[in-house]
Amino acid sequence: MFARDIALAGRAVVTTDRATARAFVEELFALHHAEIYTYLARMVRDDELAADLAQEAFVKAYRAFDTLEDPARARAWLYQIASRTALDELRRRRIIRFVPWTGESRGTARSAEEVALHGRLSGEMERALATIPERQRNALILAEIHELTGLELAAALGVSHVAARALLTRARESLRQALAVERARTAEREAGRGAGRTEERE
Amino acid sequence: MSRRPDPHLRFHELLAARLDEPLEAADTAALQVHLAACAACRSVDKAYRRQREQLRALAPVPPPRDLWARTSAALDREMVRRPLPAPHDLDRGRRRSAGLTAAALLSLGVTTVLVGSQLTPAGPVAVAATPFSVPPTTLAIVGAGPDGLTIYRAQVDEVCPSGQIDCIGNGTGAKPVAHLAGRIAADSAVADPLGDRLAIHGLDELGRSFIAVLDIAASDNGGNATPTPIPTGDAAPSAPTGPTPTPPASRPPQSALPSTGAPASEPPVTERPTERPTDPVATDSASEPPTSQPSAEPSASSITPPPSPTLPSISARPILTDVIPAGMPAAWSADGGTLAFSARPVDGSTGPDVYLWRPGEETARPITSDHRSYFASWLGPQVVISRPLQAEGSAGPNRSADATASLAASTAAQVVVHDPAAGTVRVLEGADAWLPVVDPAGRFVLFWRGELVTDGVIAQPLRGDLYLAPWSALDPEAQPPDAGPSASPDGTAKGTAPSPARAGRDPRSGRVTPSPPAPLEDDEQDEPTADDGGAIRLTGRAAAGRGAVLDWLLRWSADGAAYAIWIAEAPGAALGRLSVTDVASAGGGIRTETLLEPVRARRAFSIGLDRVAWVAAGEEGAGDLDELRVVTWGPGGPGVVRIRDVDGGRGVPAF
Repeated sequence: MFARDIALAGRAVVTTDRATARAFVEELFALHHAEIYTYLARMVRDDELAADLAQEAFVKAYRAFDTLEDPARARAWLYQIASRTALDELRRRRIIRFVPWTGESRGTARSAEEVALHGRLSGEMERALATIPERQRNALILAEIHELTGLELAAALGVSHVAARALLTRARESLRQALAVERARTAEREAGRGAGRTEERE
Repeated sequence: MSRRPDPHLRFHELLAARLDEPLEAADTAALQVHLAACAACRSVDKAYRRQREQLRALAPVPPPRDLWARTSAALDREMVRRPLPAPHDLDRGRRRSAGLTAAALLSLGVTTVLVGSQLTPAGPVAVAATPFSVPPTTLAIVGAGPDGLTIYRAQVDEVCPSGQIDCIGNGTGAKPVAHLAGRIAADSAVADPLGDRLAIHGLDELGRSFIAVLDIAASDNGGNATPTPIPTGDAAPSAPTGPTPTPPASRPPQSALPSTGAPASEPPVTERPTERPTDPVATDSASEPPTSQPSAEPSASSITPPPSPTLPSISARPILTDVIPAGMPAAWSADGGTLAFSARPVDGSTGPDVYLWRPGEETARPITSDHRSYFASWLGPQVVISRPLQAEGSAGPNRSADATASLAASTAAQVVVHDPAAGTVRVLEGADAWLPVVDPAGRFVLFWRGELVTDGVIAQPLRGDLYLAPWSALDPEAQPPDAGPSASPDGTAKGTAPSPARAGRDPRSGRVTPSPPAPLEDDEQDEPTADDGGAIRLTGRAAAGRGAVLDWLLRWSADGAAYAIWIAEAPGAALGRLSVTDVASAGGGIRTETLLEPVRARRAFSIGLDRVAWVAAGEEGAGDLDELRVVTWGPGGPGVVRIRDVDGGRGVPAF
């Protein structure tokens, strides 16, 4: 037992100025909320849940403000928080991986432009991404879409640089195979529709 | 086991890897040669590149228009709702703030750096299971990277209900608190009862085996990340009372003496006050220091290296070098005042002796000189030692050329109790036990019994099992546990089979009360049985029918109320099965109850007062990383928590 540590912990005080932390998080939000939301939406494939998680991530950033030593790395730090938040949620809701994402928001009406964008998201790549293991998906999205560097990725994933790279390598192969499956399915569906139309004409 | 039957798979990996970082020249050349001849791999290469383009072309997802309003309101609530409660004032179901944890560490005088898993406390998202608080305990974790060892600390104060490990998501987090520079690997660590010092066994950058003590209290008290001075080889920078070299009480002959301490001419196993590099590249297996100890698992990869350049450095006192540990792992006396262990020279010239080290002493000093003494455990202020009796026809204690070629001979085991203060040795006549580990309360003992062989230098188990017995069954001077003998008059043990239900446990005390034996659920698991010596054979339970126990670790909780058994999958294997059992004397027998069913675990584990920490092995082939986990069994009931992922299974935990 670390009685001394426990005693010290009991006397702990937080000296951080909460107003400063709040202002800092507001600034972070202004700069990064769109990309953080995009990242979370792609991870959990549920618009409303992604909004909840984005909100949660910024609240966590506020709580953890003390731990940010280098403001220059705030973006990577925020992704780290968001990544943990997303994986936590996915672990709680394993089933999400298997629920098709329609791309439709339950909360707000969408513009035609947004609908078109979501149409792209529901493509083969999005479906393939959804089928690979969460950690691999996380690594790939952070590295390729959100352009985290190797070290930032490792920090966000909570693993070593070598492990992050290995995870990324596995993710690429998983996605390649998943894409092949998705394309085969698409081809199958289109062949089925073509056959149906032929029958109708006959 | 072959995980890569497809010869092209290696090239697929290289194709994927080169998208992220340039390959080694040799890999590049091999890949080019292969691609020139393999159309399928060229196709894969194209697929990877197309995949990257498609990923980068994915459109952003527009956030809802009310996201700021919601977030702002949540921040408002957070500022009002969390006046930073005291750590012990934890409501059930209320998550403790990460900021508080950080502040607690700050108050310990530790430079804080960001570790993602520390940022996991949940916010507004509903969770299925609610974590509950447990008495806070600090877990020290020794991680290793290419540039040295990093000491992490994790505050374990909140756990999930049993079976709901995901209720805290990625876990409680572990925070790097100190760094020991140099290419050092550690494969075991044991913290003293106050948490001021860690005794580790490891390998230095030259591949030399050493036993060292890390003064981690210094990293707590420094508070300003001030590096400690560069120690010289014969200095004792980590000793708070200053170096007071103590000559060994009874040095073995020079030829048999493992070199102790670090001569000034040799690089000490100590830190240099250097800044940590910002590139925390983990060690891969190729760059790990070599090991001369086949049974050990060098801990040379990393828990995620800290991203901070300002961790305080700490010093490590090498108290014995060029040795291979023998017997049970090193252990601190109950008062934390003495470290005991046994070790033998790495050159194999002699068998092991038992050593003691106290703070302030420069090196460990041997308390035996027979070269056949194996440390087993503490018994209050005394040390329990196992010795193989001299086998007929075997070589003498000094290995000769002929002896090395001779066959191992069976030998009997002897148990002695050594009193360092009085200098007396008491032989426990008739105690048929090997490496008996006595519980801190002196009531029970765990030991191995079976056929032991020796080549005259080293004794090794050949076949045998683990047993649990009252200590009085081995030591006639000991008082029996409060309720008499360990087995009923008919010889039937009172041990119960593993039972997932915790019926009979007093939720307030956490102790086990008598309950009817539960039916066996696993055909492979034998019910513990009593032998005529009043000992209960445990092997069936712990090893799950895996045969003879040849490589194992035994540890008691600090109050002696529970024990942990780790049994290697094979002698020297890094992986094994860990189980924890509650034990009490009840109704004239020994009552046992399983607290942790056997789980696949790395060799390093640590048991605290009411909890056990281990590295759970990830699923082979599933890409899962190992995880450092803690299971608790305190008054709040069984709990479990994930501390963090561990890269390569090389975190070494110590309560």
